[in-house]
Amino acid sequence: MIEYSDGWLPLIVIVAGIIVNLVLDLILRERAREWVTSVTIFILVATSFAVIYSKGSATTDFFRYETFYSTFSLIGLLSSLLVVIVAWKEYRHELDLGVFYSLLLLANAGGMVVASSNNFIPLYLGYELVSITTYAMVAFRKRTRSGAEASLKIFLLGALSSAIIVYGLSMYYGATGTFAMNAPALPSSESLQFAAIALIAAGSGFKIGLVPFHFWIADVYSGASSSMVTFLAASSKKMAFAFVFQLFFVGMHSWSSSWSLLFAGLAALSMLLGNIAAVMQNNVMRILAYSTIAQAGYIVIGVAAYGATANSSIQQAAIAGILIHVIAHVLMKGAVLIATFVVIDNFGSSDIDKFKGLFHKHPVFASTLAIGLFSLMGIPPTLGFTGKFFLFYSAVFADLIWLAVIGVIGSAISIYYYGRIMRIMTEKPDENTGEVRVFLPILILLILLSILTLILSVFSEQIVEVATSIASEFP
Amino acid sequence: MVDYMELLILLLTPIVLALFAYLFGRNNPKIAKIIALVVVSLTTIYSIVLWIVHFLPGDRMDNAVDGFLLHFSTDWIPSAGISFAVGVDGLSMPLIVLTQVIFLVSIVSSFYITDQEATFYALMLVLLSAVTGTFMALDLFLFYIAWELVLVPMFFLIHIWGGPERKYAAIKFFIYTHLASLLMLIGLFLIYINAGHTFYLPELKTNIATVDYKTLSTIFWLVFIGFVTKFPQVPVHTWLPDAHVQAPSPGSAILAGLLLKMGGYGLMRIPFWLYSETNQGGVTFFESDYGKDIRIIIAIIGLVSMVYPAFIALRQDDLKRMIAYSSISHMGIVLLGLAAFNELGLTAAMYMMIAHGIISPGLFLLAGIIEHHTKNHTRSIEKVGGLAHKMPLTGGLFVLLAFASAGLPGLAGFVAEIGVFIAMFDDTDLLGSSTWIWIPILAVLSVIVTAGYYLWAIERVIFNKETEEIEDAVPAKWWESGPIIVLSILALVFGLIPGLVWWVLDQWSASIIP
Repeated sequence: MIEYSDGWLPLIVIVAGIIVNLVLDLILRERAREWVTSVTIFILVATSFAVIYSKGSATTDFFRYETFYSTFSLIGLLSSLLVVIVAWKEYRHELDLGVFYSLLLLANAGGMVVASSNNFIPLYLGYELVSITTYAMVAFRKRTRSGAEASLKIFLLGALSSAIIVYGLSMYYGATGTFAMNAPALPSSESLQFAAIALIAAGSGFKIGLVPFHFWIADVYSGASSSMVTFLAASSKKMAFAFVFQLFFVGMHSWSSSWSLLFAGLAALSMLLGNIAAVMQNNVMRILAYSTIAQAGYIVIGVAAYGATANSSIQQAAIAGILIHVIAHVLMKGAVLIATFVVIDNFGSSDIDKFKGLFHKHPVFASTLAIGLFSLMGIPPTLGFTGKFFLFYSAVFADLIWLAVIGVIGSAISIYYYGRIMRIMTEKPDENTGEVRVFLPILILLILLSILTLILSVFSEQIVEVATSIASEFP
Repeated sequence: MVDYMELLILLLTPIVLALFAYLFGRNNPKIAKIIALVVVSLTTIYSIVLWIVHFLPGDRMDNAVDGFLLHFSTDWIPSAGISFAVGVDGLSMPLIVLTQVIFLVSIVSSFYITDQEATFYALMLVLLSAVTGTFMALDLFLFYIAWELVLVPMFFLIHIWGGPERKYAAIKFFIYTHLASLLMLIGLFLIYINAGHTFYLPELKTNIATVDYKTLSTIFWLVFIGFVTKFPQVPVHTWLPDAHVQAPSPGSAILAGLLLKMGGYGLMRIPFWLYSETNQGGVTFFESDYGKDIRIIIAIIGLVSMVYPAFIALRQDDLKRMIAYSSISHMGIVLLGLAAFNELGLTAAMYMMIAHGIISPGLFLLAGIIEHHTKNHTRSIEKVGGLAHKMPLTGGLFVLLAFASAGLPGLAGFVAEIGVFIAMFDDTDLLGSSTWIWIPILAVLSVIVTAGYYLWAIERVIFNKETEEIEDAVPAKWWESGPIIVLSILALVFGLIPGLVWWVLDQWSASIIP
């Protein structure tokens, strides 16, 4: 007998929102655009309140509603607001916007299930919900060749990685005899444990885009629509991180000594290769795709540091670093990506030359982009700096100094390509290259993102406190 | 605990008004210029007043909190041991006053700039806050933020208003110093982890006394890399000639006068001051075996950085490049003074930083004037000649400051150099001992080279026959020569009456020498 729990409330709200969106789209057709946009924004905000309300509901075998759940659900929901606004601009002349928004909301429902899972079964189901809606959304712009290529790539690799994870979970079942998280291992099951860790880590590597599982990222970023790339970078990647944290921090907590070094290696590879590959690109979209790989590498430093030790203050620092950098990534990557789409909109492509003279053409717009870039570089006083600060600190604290040094080298390399964009923005514009027109809601969004990037870095104490309470929930 | 607001005013006024300078200056550049000039004049006067009120009337240390005057602190991220704390002592206060003076001088000398003035002056004000913040921060987190923030405006200053190779120079400067600062950050983490999980410097100083010397030596090298790259010394000096030469002259002045000093300040504050209460086996860290190894190595780095760039300077044709190499050479003297590790050595090293901070901006600004007044805007020593005929004042100032830099008695550079040399010979345990005595001897002998390149440059640029490059040269305008006159007077005053700052510095170094 299943009983109602307050924890279901956000899911109920969001599913109701999906139905409302679909019905509105069906009835109003051409006139539905503004309606569904406002309804979706409303639903996202309402769900956020429901999440806060439902936090602290009773823990069951399958679900727990703690700070981890509320934090990552909120990150997913609020970052989806960026997607809504970008899609509002992008799909203004197309029908079916309601369908797109419904898929977005459905992905968020999946994200909330991931964040609240207390068992591998709902965890996997929740993440599949995110994945499948993501494939559908990438395929939304099916008319272009590159769009079709992107959707096929993400679907095939996504399905493959899900299969690998399921295979790994079956190994976990073999090693413990249950799907409950953090279950004690059965005697003489070491080889099964290693197999489970290796398979699940490989699948997770695909999901969060770590080297050597990163090949889909650059192609999907340059092929998919702008709202979709925003979704992939800002929202769905955060749900993937929640998924990975659930798998390893909670699910396989007691085997941390085995996976910590694995993740340290993946982080080192991602930071080096991601940054070096980005240096060689001339297209800003591809630079950003590779920099996403590097940024994922920085976040995984925290995973490695968390696993390397049982010392609770190191684990707190690692979680603080992870959480700050995840939030920073939403803000800074969101701002830079959206700004890049504005450039694509105005000048037809994201070649680095198209950024020439932006500071002269539209100083406010260029400043928001510059703050995003500085935050990605990790220059204070931005949130990107605070995130890196805690991540490197946790690595040094956990005796992974070599990893911190690799992170430092990667960071220094990244100055080159971010600095290149910045340099070209400050140059004098060529004649006849035209004005930059920015859709007003998008400009406001950009300003908001860059202000948050600066403000939160000063008030990061609150984030650190949330991280401390998350760390105390983990076994 | 009393909180003083004075330093906050000094720290925050420029950065807050930078925004206004930019907003109001966009349509009317004159407003940006006026705002920048007024702000920097006021902070200069204010810092001098603070200096006179709080440092001159004898021992005012009874007002000190944790050994720092004008102390202000408040919690920032308490769960990670991070606070917002500022304060000054005998090491930082002279550098803060120097910062304000050099900025005032640089802003007046920037009046020739006509391109995007609002942005230029706004960036200068941001840079002023960042440099001031580096010198007054008492919390390593705040220190690191200020330290890194310096890079951003400097990057744009070089990149937008610099010379023909500015793009390369700007990014090279950024990458070099950023990589070094991040390695330093790892060192700061080790300090934090080993010394009681706080970033507050006075507390760290007490806690670090219990950390074993091997760890302290690891930490030393990590932070040393960070500071010495900014400093900069051979072999990590290669960004400096590019950045100094390509930056606009006011930018070069700030780079040479202040950014190099940040490296020296960091070196004195973090290892030397921080380790001063260590006492294991009856000796402090820098007298232990670990510390002696470190002192020998930094003495050799200092010696190489003093001699080798001096020879490079000898064959330079670009005036700015020559001055840039001479800066590296002078910073080598600072490192030698630190290696001597006695009261005189430290005091003279600090005095060198102040003397060089006055002299080298003057020389860079003079190079800028020469560039603006020659026909093809060149600084080539080969092409410019006979400047004294057309621009007598500029020529005279150049001779004075070049002599000051070469260490002529009666001028500021001499006091510092002689102090460091005596201190090295005086360090009978290490540098003055028979094994290492060649280090001070070579250092003294290399001063000849310094004198050599300056004299040769003076002969060719100032006194030779007039070349066609300076045919149309007219005497420099007031805002061009005025700032340099001020710096020259300071160079003379600090050479004749070193006591003006010497005893404050001396008190500080006495407090960290056992």
